[in-house]
Amino acid sequence: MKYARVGGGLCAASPLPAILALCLLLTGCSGLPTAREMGDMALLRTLGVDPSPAGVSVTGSTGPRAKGLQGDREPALTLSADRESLSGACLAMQGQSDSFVFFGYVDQLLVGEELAKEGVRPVLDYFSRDAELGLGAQLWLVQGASARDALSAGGDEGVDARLETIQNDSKMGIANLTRTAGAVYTDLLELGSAYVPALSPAGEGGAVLAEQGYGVLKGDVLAGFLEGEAAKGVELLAGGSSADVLDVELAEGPVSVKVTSACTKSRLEFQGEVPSALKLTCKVEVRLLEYRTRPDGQGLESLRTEASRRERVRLEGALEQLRAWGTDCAGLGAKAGMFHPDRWQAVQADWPEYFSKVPVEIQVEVKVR
Amino acid sequence: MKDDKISRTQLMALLWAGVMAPAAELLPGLLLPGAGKGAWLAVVLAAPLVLVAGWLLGSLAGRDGLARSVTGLLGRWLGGGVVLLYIVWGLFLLSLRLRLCAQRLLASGERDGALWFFLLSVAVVLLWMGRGKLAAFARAGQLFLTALLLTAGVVLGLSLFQARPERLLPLWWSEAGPVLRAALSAAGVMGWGLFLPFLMGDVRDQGENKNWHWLFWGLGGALLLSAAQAVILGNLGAALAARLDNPFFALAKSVGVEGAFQRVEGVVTALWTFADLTMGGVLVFALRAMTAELLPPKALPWISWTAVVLGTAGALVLFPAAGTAELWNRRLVPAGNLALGFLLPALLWVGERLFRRKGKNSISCMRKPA
Repeated sequence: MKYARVGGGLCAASPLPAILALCLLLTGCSGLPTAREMGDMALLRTLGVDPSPAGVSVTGSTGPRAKGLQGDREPALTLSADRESLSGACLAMQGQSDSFVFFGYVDQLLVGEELAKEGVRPVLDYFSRDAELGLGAQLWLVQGASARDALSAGGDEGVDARLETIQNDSKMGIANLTRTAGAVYTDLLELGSAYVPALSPAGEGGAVLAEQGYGVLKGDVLAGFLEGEAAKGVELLAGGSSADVLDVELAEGPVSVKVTSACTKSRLEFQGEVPSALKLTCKVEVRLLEYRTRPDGQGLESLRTEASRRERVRLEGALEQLRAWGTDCAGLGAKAGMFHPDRWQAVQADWPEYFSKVPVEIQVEVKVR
Repeated sequence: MKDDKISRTQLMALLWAGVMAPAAELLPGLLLPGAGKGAWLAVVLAAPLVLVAGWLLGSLAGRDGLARSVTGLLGRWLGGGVVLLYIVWGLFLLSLRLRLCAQRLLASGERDGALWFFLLSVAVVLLWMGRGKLAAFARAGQLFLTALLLTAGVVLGLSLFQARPERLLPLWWSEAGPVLRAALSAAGVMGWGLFLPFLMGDVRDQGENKNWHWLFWGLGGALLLSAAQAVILGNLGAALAARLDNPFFALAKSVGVEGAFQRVEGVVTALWTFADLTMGGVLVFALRAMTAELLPPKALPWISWTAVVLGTAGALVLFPAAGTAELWNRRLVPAGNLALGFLLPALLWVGERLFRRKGKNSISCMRKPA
């Protein structure tokens, strides 16, 4: 079977002009993008944004860089600039480096508390529209400090390794939930609020970034922070694994269980067209970690009851604060509304107000593995 | 021309590989202002219109191709006028496709590069393909479709787990009107494939049931396109997707596999050139088939050259202001595609039926006395 090849071929005289044209392109007289050596590039990994008198302050860090054939580690390059706009600041950072500054590898975005109070939408908008930056970057709120302070916490090593560790730990269920800038931006636009993991410089001289629960954004400004048990409650509402070990005192002795997964389902009840109750069912799976005698029968039931009580307290703590702010950042209403399409359409716009007022019934089911 | 025939499956591969270029640019952004989170459903609802339009065009084209059928039905002058209308629209679409492809490649680099360089590069490759045989181009189209489906599959597959159903549902009757109106726009986007019936003169009859074949490929393609919109909206939400210039490529920026690849949007943009080349190639081969009905045979070798040169010149000249090409792509093209891909063929089909009935009546009238 004969196959025709793609294309019309070239006439006998045409290769010479084509080769000459290619040679001309190689001289630089072309519209080809300029090639760059990887060694001459500063690949920014972490970007921090704060407000400044000039407008906005942007700080970028590369993390430790490989140098030379032996792969020696060069200290992290940190650049910062204050300008009227984000794009102006990013351009100014380019001028500070002897390398070509590339923003395409930025996968951690730190937002200072002051900027979060003013509004994060301009930053998220910039990340969504810029050709190099992307919404896949992990977003963190810096509590009680500026993003620039947080970035300097890593010293010569930078903070990207620490942030990546938290991110990976989160996937394995041994750290707080992490969120991308895209997920937060989507929630802000769809739900009107979003929760964002919070960090704070800690240790001697603020040399380490420590997890600090979650910041909650309403509209695009900071409503407040949830810490401790309330932060655990947010994790239960949002679902997914979290870093949590419960120590319970039973008749058989002390028992420790790890919360391996949580899933909260919501249901709305209506009286006429108005929501009358928000019912939450939280299913939690725990795994026995430590015990003197493996609990069974009555002991297991006591364990379930105590774990349910603890988780209920956490949920109530989180909900009390979220309802006070009018921020359903876990999307409980939107999920419940899927089963009442007609009624949900009528109340969707006013849901934050209903969320603050409507009675909430919580049911926790604990499964021990 | 015997060895230059293509199969019906290859024709369908060319259709969907080509349509993936405008679909990635326009969907779901074009549908979001009206349909909101129901944009994915609008694509499903566009499927019946697309199927009917395809059936009308295929029925008119028969085994001769649409250009010959139209000139046979309406005569040389009126039929020639209709074919000329399609030629002008085809050249405009070719200019627009070349321009948008060059702009996308330029935008992926952002900091440097020149539009004319990307435009001429794509035009040269298109000319090379357009001067060759249709059978070879169709085989390339199958490979392009495979590459595009794999690419889209990776991007959407990696995003699938972050999609949330509450960003797609609930939908209620009050949204039916806007969603149905958006379905017309979605059909207009898929209408980029309206030039395929001009190639039906070169389709080999392999004994397949052409109606079932079209139903399978037409419905299957529309459902896949709808599923893609659902994944995009399930990830970004309707509000964010509406704010982005191109939600699909924005989603491609967000996906990555730790340790393997972290940024794929450059590769996706580069691979999407296959879709532009396929659509450009379909237009060039359709222009070849159309002009063959109007011009003497000695002009035929120059048709590909003329089409690509005019298309490239149009791409450089027709859209001087920034954003003009995108604006025309969103506003003018879907409406034009619906007019030339559905309304005009429907009129021609009605005309053909009337003509046939008249012909039958005159035959029966002639037979009666006998």
